[in-house]
Amino acid sequence: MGNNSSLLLFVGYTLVVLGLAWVSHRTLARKAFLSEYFLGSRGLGLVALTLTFGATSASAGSFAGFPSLVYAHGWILALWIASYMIFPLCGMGLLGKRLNQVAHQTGAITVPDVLRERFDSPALAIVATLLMAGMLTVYLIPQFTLATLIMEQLLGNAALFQKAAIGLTQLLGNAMPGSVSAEYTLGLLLFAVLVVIYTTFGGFRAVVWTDVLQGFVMIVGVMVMLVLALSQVGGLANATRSMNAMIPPKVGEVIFEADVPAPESGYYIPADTWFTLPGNRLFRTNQSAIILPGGTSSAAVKVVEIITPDEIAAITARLPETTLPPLVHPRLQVLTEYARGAGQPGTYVRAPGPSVDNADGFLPLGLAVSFFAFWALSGTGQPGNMVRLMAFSKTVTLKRAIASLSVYFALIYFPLVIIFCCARVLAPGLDQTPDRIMPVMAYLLADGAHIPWLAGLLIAAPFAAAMSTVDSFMLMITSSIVRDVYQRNLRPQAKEQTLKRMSYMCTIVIGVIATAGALYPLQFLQYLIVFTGGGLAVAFLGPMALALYWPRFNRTGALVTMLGGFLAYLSLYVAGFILYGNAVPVRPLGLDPLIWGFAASLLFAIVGTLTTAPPPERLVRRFFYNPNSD
Amino acid sequence: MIDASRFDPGFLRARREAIIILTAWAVCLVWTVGYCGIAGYANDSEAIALLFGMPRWVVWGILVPWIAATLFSAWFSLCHIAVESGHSQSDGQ
Repeated sequence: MGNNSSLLLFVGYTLVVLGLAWVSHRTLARKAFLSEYFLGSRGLGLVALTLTFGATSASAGSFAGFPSLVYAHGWILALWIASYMIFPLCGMGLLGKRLNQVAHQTGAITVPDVLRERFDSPALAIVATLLMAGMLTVYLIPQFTLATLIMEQLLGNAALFQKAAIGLTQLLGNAMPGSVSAEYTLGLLLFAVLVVIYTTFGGFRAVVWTDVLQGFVMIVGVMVMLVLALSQVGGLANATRSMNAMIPPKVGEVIFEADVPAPESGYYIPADTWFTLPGNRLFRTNQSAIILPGGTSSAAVKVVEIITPDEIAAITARLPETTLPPLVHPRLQVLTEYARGAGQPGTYVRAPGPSVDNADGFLPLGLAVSFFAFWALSGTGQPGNMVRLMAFSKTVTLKRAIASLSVYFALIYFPLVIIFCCARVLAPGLDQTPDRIMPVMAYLLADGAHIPWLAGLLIAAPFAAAMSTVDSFMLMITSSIVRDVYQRNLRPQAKEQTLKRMSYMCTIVIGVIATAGALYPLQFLQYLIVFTGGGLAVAFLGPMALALYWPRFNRTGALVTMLGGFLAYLSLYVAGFILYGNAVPVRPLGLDPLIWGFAASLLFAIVGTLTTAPPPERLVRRFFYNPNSD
Repeated sequence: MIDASRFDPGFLRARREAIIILTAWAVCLVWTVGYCGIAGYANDSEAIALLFGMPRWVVWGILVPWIAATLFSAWFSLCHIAVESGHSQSDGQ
């Protein structure tokens, strides 16, 4: 897509989003500010509740990280993601009705608000606010980064975008961050400005409306990709049989050397270049390599060696004799075999799936149990999802939304597994940079269907997923600060105009902080997302579920449940960092820290509650007794 | 002392529904991880049995329970979750 069609698509999408924010802002002016700005006046209908819940749950990870895992490990990812089969029922049904009742009953508009009212404890609300705002801010940074990377893919080929990036470089000069490209910086600024504007001025209603739009973009993108992938791979059975024959590749590094010093233009070997070596060995570069003018060798770049004989035969049959510049030769540096699956066909269609660095495979059985708990229960415990459950007005809306979301997720996640299993066959040799597989497939499928502009639409799906998560989290952090800290503790009599100004300022400041963080991208983005998502679930699921369903549960119990579970979870990550020197946590008995966090949470809840005085009678009466009995 | 006889029927219904939902999650866990643990983790044969173009263990261990869970979720939510009324509205200002 070497023209501006993707840019036009993006501009159209932006105008729609800003239009929704403007309409929402006009609605905001006619209603009570806090309840409208943070909860849409509790007026969510069926489509809004279903798609805002679905779009907020499906972050950029669902459309960037998950496809790369399917590509790298094969059919085992169907088991990894399987608990989404029951997530809508758990995520909405477990807490939804009671949480909505309590929020209506008390006038609560945030999660800490509910806990404060239920336990009559400002201290508990402040601890909850600090945990939530801190974790969500950390969570925002990788989401901004991922969204920007997607935007680079979406707009990178547009001539206007490239010109603007060059202009930005000239404008900023030395102030330009050295660790990222001009295209990345421009993409980040565009994303930040767009998301901050519509979230700040539109509030919850704008976020929900854009979630609905983004929810439709996601499902349409997945369905179109599914049809194209199946038709271009020759049917699912053909794809699975090809995967069954596949042997995991070798991965390593290569240096390109020239026989004579490179000319003034240097030598450029693009990423994804195929080349062969004697002995019928076939390789694909996963990064671009440059031999500078006058130089004779490049820096080491990532390379993948295809091992499967049928694949080698099929790919070499359609390759030109050599794809490297004349007089340039590859010199292999390091070449590593997979720790699990090396030399074995069939690993991509069986459990536990191949793995480069884990001899037990990608998903040992203990981890499969953990992930079944992770997606369903962790999703249920996300404060972002809880807030949405406080925002509908009738139980019948919840009932229908659970049914609709169950179908929606079934149509999103299982097809994603199929699409990116097909990608293993259609786009081999990207095993060292699998994060690129979503845009690569979008362009490949659109080109194969002779509809180049379609690639922009397909890449818009992950962009929409990132955006819908970011906007709702920004609003939640603002609500925590303005409602739970400022209004409830510092200035209970604050005027509406003051609260409005503070809310706008807070959302802008949070956007600026996340943008600044994303200007210097961290390593381990996916780990950071998993860590913060799990931490929020461990901190909030236990206290909220027990607050709603256990009358004996008291404020001490709630506090130790929240802090005890979170600290147990955190300590396994810290131990992993100390023992292994990276972001991989310690997993006792092969179970994820989330499971241990939930277990610790439950233990602390029981001990903390039963060893302290019962809650006051007035609280039990208010939240659990029949109002007509006395 | 907490007097269970005075509990709001709406609260009791919601608690019963939550217990059923947790049971449904546990059934899905046992079916999915249990079946895949037996059929998917066996590496004894080179040939892989396919059904609808997918490995057979994926169909019986994941696709079928996924369809069953979706149908159950729809039935349970539409036909079993009780409609509650009488929320006392307040806008949190």
